[in-house]
Amino acid sequence: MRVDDILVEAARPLWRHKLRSLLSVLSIVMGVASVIALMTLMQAASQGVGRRLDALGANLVAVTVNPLAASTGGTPTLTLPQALSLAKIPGVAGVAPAAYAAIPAERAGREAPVTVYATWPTFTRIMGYHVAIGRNLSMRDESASAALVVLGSAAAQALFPHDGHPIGRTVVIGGEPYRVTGVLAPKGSLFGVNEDAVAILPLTTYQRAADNGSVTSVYVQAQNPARIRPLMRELADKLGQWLGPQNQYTVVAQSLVLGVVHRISRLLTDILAGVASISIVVGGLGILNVHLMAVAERIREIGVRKSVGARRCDILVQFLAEAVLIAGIGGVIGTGLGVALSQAIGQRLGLSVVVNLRIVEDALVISLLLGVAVGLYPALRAAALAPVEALTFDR
Amino acid sequence: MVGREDVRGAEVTVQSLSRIYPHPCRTVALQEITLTVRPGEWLAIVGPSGSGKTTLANILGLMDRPSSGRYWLDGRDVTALSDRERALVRNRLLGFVYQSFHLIPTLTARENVELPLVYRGVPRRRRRELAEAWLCRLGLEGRLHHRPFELSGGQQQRVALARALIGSPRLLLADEPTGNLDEENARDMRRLFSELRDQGQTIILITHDWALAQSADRIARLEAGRLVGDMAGRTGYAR
Repeated sequence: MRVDDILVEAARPLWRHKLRSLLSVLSIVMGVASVIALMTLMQAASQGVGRRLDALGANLVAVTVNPLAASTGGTPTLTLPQALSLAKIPGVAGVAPAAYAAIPAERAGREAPVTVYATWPTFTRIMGYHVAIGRNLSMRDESASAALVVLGSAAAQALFPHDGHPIGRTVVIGGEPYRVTGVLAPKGSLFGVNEDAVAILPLTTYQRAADNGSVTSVYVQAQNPARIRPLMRELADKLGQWLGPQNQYTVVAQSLVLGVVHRISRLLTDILAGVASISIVVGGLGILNVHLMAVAERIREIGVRKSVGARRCDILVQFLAEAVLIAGIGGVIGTGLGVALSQAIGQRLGLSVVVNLRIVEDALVISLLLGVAVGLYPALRAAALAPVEALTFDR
Repeated sequence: MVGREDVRGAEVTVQSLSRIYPHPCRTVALQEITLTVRPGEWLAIVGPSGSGKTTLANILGLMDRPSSGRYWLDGRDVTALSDRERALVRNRLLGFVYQSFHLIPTLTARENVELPLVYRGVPRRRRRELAEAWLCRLGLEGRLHHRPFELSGGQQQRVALARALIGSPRLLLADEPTGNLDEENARDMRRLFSELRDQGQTIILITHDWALAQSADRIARLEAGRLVGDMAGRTGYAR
């Protein structure tokens, strides 16, 4: 039997039983589309988080004094000289001591909820911020305790919605006026926190205004991301000497957070892929059912074909090709639908969706293999029919 | 009407052929059948219902296997061929016509006729030409694209005959070919068989139709699975 004849013979019953074929194809389409959409979206979400954490820097270590422990267990606070001395630990490329607070920023009757970072000029570089308009804070501003502020893009937009250029304008934070010296480029959200709703002040200016010389966090940049763990141990040792027991502070590396996020997202992707795969298997069972019915309905036809010279393998291939064709059509349409769905949902969720060709290939191969798997049994049954019994079969 | 060239009928020889069905209860359908059909001869097998005519046709058509005995087709022992070889012989050497036509309902008349050539690997265009030529020879030029349910019984039987003949078989087996036809169509079918015999086609015909049987060269009579008579037809000879 020629290949073109196999295809024609396989396509003919599908065309003949359009509704039945359509339902079989649909069951595969749904399965494949859901697998592709879920996998692509999960991958996009995971990559989005990864990119954000990467932008923060795989070599970033955040040291934070536990505010609860500080408030309940006496006064184990970190001083600015202590924070700056962390820069002398071997392997540290730079530090940004900081105190932060959630205080609204105000201007001309407008109020914007912002996280205020009182910190050194190194903060923006270490945290992966870029100044879009104006300039960053300088060490001169720090030394002079200048009343200056660099606003995040969301904060600037909220406070200066129609006023154009905010540079040189004044905003009020914690009752104190600050002149805007720069606006940061948008960065987006991370774990639901809007990183553009920030206001960055000189640390000394904030400490003077708040009458508090303590530092709540230190952002430490490691020279070598591969040496993060030993550096974390050394930082912990230092903090232990100054602050006491471990529950008084935390030392967290972004790269480790990144690893955990990747592991969680991979686990979630696997679970979702498993759940979605069930729908493909259900689709396959639908094809199996339809094909068993088709063999039962076409026993006489099989007998006629055998009487004119069809061999077992001809019948086997014909019925198998029908199942593979259904699964293949379902796979192709499902892939297209899955890609379209993931793009549409990704756009709605603000995810940057890039279709992974590997997922598409896998989905197509799996759908074809499914066609073979579920088509084989009915095809073998059809092929094994004795010619005379098939020909004289009475329904 | 059925113009063909170079028809060379097969010689059919069976010796001590028996067919026993063990289930559900042991039934002897054929018993020690010994028979020879010469190349180009038309043999009619007659007998009452249940006498084993169709069983014999199925074995001669390699659709079933005998329980014992031997079967030679053109001098080649085909009794113990594998399923694959039997399919090849059915495709290359045999043609079948059945009482109930056995056309595939989803195929057109032309596609039904093409079917043996599909399994022979003949290219589509060549198959179409041959199928159309056969259907035209049998007076069905206006019915090429009709499906079986759109054809009368006589037309369906002519489609089935075209399908049987398109592969230039050496042996044509017909099981009650006029059983579902009216008198006029049955007469046409008799005429077609006569023409085929005249062209040298070996024909084995199972029939209740005495008029059709009498057109054959020989008439063999089966009763209770045994061959009880072998006589000349109207135009033939007895052995």
